[in-house]
Amino acid sequence: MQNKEEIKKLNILSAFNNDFPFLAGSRLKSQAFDFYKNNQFPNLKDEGWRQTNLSSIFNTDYKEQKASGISLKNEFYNIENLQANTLVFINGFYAEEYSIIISKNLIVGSIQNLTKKQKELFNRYFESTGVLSENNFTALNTAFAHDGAFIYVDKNQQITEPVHIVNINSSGESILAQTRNLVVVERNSSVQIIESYLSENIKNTFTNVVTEIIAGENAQINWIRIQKEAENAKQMNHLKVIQNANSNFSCNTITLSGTLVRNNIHVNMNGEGSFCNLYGLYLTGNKQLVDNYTFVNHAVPHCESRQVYKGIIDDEASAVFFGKVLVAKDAQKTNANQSNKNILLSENARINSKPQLEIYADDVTCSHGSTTGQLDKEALFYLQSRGISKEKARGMLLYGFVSEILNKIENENVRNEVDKWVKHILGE
Amino acid sequence: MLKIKNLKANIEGKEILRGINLEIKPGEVHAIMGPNGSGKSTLASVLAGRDIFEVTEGTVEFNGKNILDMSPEDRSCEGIFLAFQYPVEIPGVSITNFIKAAVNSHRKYRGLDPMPPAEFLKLMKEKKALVEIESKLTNRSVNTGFSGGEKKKNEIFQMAMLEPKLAILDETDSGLDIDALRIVANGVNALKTKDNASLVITHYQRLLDYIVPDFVHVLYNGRIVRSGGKGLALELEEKGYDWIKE
Repeated sequence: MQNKEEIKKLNILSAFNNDFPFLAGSRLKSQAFDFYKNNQFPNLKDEGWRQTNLSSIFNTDYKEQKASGISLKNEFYNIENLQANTLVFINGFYAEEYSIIISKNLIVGSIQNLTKKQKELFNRYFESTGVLSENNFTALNTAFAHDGAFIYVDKNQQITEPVHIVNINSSGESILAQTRNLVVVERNSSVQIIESYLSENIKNTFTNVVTEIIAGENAQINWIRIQKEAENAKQMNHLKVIQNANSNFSCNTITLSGTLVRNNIHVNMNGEGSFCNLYGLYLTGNKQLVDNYTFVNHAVPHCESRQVYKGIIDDEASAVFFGKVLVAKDAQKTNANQSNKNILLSENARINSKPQLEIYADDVTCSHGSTTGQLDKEALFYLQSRGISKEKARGMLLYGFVSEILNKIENENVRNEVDKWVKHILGE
Repeated sequence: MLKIKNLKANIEGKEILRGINLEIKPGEVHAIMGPNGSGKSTLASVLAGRDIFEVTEGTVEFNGKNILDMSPEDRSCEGIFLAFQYPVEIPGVSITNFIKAAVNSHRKYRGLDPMPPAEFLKLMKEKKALVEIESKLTNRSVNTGFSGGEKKKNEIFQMAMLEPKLAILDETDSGLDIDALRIVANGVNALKTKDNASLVITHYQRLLDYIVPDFVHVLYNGRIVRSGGKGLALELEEKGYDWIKE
């Protein structure tokens, strides 16, 4: 007899008719599939998932839908004035006709296209972070992802044009889109990567993404994720990073929409002298749930990590920030701090904020903090007393609250674009 | 210009203003003095439209209009300005953006288009000089991390930008050293014309050495208990407030 968990797993599997060709028959695929069969999906009883009701993901019959017959306008996904290498994925499948590569000094393209040509590189790094065994979502992705971005920056390369990975869902059916990204930046190299999520005319979509990032010695990676899907879209996003010595990884997660969005970021600081900055902004309303889970593992001495997440929660929406910093016994001179600040705009809005430090070394500087409040009424009156309408004043205050995060977006064109959307949402 | 008749106001059911009567004409400077807790700041807040106070009785007319039903923003656009005793810190909002929004709201109220950027910058520069504000300050977030003096100068800078008909200065002298006090007072005096008026609220006579009032009123227990010329301020300075309580 099938129990509930078995039914969940089979339902999800019904979405896949095709094997992931480059993994077909491989040891990794069977390992991932075995993990999937032998483990349960995360549920409300699991640490780190207690506030995250995933049932809406499972009570759907998904179909797989290729990106044929969909026409897109450039303005829909391009960022104004941004000259970028652009990889477009529609419903998880690579859309070559919309993609454009402009940089000469890096290897970039879809995994499907590059596996044969770059077999040695791919085999060396794919699944080298061990992400498949994080949970059943990452296992499922490893066994059945459709495609994804493969970005390889050789040593001593400064990539001036960013790489923009565009993910678009567009389907009248219930679809499950899975992309799998692999990003390797070798020593002394730098790159900026933008990962954006959009949707058009969707019925019911679930996007399950896994990204592996390997930062070589003294590599600089600047990552920006923009989640701007339709209100009814669901997304599970896992990012796993390995940092080698003196590398710098900076990530900015901007969540502007989606009914259920979970972002897992897991950073292993394996090389001394590394820096990691994780910033996040979430604006939620209606009955949305936005859940940010971070795990920063200070495995070695002399590393620095900083996390700042800010959110505005309205209506009956809820948000979760669960941030964990682990400082290993020998990781002396670690400097780590975490901050999570929230504004609740309605009585029914909810936030669960849980920054956590787990420290086994004795010579470290670590701090964490979390604040939640309402819109500052005194500040509102102050602005109104200068002639500014209540509505405009509210927008200005909310925008002021989130601007700290927006200012962390390094790329000016991306910052301007996000700024525009945020102002629109906040009525500023 | 301003006519307050029998104004009574509560906060959380507690009566603070117990029947204020006051008339201010264009060109006049009025000072309100009084011991702590007498209702001075409440009067300032009620005139500016702070909604935590409930007006239970009386009327306030400003240039012939009843302002008690107006929103704080409309009162501002009608020409009432409150310089706060404790200016609020607003992280993430620059002074420039803040004052631009304020200036353009005032213009919109009068049916004008937003001020052209070049004109706005010129005006800012002129008014910053008036209160000796450093240029860099206006790029910073409103009042965030400002010293006491910078906060009060910023209030007078905003007043200069908005050119109100009635300026209410709520304990503008509190927390100021003598140099900042002089700068703030000079700013206020420079903005004085025969058509506008000021209501200066203060606990001490010191400020009135710089901003010389035409009338002085003593507020005690929610009522104006005595009015007079500027000599009254000196008398209060000498004798303290105890004698008016009797």
